[in-house]
Amino acid sequence: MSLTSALNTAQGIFNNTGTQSSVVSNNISNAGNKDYVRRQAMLTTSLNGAQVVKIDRAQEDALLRQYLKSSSQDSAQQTLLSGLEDLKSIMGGNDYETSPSTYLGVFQQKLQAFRTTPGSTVAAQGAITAAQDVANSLNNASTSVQDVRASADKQIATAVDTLNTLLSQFETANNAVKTATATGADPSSALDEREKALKQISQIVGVSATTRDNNDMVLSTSDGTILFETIPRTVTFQAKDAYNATIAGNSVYIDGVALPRGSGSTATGQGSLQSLLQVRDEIAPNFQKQLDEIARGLVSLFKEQSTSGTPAYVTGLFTWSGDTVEAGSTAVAGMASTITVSSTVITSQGGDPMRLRDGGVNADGVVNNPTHLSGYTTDLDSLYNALGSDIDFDPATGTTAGFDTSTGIDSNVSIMEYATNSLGWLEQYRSNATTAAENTSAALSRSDEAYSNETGVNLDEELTLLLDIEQSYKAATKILNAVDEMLKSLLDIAS
Amino acid sequence: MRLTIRQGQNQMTKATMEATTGVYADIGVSLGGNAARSVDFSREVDRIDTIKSSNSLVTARMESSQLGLSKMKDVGDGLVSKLTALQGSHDPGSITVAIQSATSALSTMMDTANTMVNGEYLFSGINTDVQPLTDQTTATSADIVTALNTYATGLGKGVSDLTGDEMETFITTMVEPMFSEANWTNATTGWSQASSQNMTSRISNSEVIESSTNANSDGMRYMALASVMTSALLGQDLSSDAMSTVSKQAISYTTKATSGLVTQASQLGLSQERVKKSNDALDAQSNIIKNKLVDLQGVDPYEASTLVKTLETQLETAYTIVSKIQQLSLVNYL
Repeated sequence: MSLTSALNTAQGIFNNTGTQSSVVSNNISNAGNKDYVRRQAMLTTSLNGAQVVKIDRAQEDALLRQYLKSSSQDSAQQTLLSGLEDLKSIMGGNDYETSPSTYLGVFQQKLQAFRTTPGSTVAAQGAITAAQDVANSLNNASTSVQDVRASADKQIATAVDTLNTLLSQFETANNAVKTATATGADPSSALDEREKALKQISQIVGVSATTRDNNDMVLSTSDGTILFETIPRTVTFQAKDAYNATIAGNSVYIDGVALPRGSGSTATGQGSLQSLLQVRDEIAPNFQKQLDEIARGLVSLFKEQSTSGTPAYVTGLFTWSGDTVEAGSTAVAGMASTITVSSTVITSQGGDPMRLRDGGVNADGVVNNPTHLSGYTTDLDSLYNALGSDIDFDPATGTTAGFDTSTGIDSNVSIMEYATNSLGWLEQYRSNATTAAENTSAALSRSDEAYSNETGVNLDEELTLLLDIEQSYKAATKILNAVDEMLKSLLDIAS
Repeated sequence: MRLTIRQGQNQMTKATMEATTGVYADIGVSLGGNAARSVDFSREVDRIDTIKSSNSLVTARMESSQLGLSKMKDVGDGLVSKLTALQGSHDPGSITVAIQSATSALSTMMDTANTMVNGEYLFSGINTDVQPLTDQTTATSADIVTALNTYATGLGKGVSDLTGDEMETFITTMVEPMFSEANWTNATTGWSQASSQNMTSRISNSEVIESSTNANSDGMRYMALASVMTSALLGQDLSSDAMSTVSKQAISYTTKATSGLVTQASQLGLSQERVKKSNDALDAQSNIIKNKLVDLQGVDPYEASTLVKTLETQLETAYTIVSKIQQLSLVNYL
């Protein structure tokens, strides 16, 4: 060892402390950045003391995977929940003020009032107005359900756009990482960039990442479709401008494969896309179907025997665009959106509300009280009873034809029960989804915490490191001084 | 810590709401599928209220009917006493009194039978918007007198020579049929436009009762028969024997009338009792359902307010910790 080599070592220390303090200050400046992963300059001993061999990034693949998964799940669950909240808000608040079920209840009460004073025009008009409210609430609910579908469709379109943008950002970052890794440069910033894109992608669609040579990353969705390999795969989606009960939405295609929708109240989907598809194609259409069945039930309950005999029955108080009485046990798509009260009983449209009491609401319907006796209650009473008894769409056959069995709620019930059960179905879904959403958001918060504990910047830690660096810098200057003194003494001897 | 604070604040809003309202802040989320039952229960309570209010209408109708029936029965009883007095003496004064009493009984009956409550004629059966009775006294009296003359001529006698037995035959075979139900309800010449079918009302989920009566009943027909016959025949120049028979028959018809009215009243009374019982049952049912509703969607307000306090403490602790952590930094010590 010579004095010169001591000088070299001291010089090495300056180099190291320079790099180290630059890394530390970089860490400190990114202390609040969630997408920043903490770095550390690694030292190794060499012939001349120590040297910075590489800048280590506090990478935590296992925790990152965990984070991506819980982020997808939480995003899916929250999206599902907000879709359900939208549907629930159609029904009003805690008392379900605007639900068809509430209006049906009022209608039944008005019918009872009319039945008690069958000669009163006021009571008759009260019943007709309540019937109009029922029809309107079904129309409105139906429109709102389709609005929920349309808005889910728009959100899907936006999410797909964002996903494509993110994938191209991912490509840029991935290329930068590959280049830096291959050339031995510091890829940390590019890695951060890539990870940021990855986290955002995971909110839209469930993603699993595998790393190959040169830190090249391959992305696939949770069900195995390749999302990114060297270049981004295209995600395509055709949005629809308007929705009604008969329109089915388009699928989202990733690399040509249709993305399956989530199912169940505890979302099985990963990422917001699958949940949006679930709201648009499963929950909202089923709810619409239940509304359609309520409408079909009303038309059927108030049907009238036809004077001509073919068809046996014609529509009565409630009519719809098809103007037929549908027997059988199959829902008719979109009935709820067109159901109305027949104009022949609406005073403002030249009708006579007393037709409800006497029969013959439809021009082809049988009039049961031809002399218009003002105390006639037989029809009103049977209608009142029919609202509260199990429905039979096809009374001509011996077997009871109940509501459509594919709507997920009891089919052999009265229309009143069916309407409340429909609310119950939605609320059950929403209640489960709320619990699940609390769980996923807690899980996300935990994994976020765990991940940032490992990769985040702790200001205090960086400051202590800075103290260390300062000390070694001071020590190096001391060494430099001492060697300088020594060399000086040596040169003095020589002179 | 952020999650803790966020959740704490959310829960706090909910707990405050629950403590003040006593029901779940979000019934749907708390009850899930049972929310349907809660809606069913509320609707059931409303429905019971509607039935009860319609029951009060029905009760009002029946009470007014009862009042009318008892008024008619009273004038019937009065008529009987006047006619009984007539049986003892046939002086012109008693006859005039009897005729007046018969006329007034008839007019009271007509008035009462045509009573209207809430825009409905009480004694019209289900034909509630048509006045049930039209006074046909003049025409009917004329018919009776014509028939009497024809009858007397047929026997080859003058009216004043008719015996009691002949008069009785005349009354039962000629006068009484004029008041048969068919003639009574004849659309053009009859007295009554009422429907023989009574109003029915639903007083509970399963009970339907007859809630009115009509002017085609025996009671009112016999009352009219007795009155019209009395005033028509007593005004004729009759033998004392025949006169006695007329008053005897009139008394018998009036008695039939009052007993008929009592029958009608007791039928209505039965219906009234059923309404009362049904109201009691509905009250009980409504209370049970309301209790169930409270069980289902109610929150113990004390529990909720305790929760508010706990959450308050918890949140305050969280805030304190946050501010403490904020102060803890090495920078302050360098």
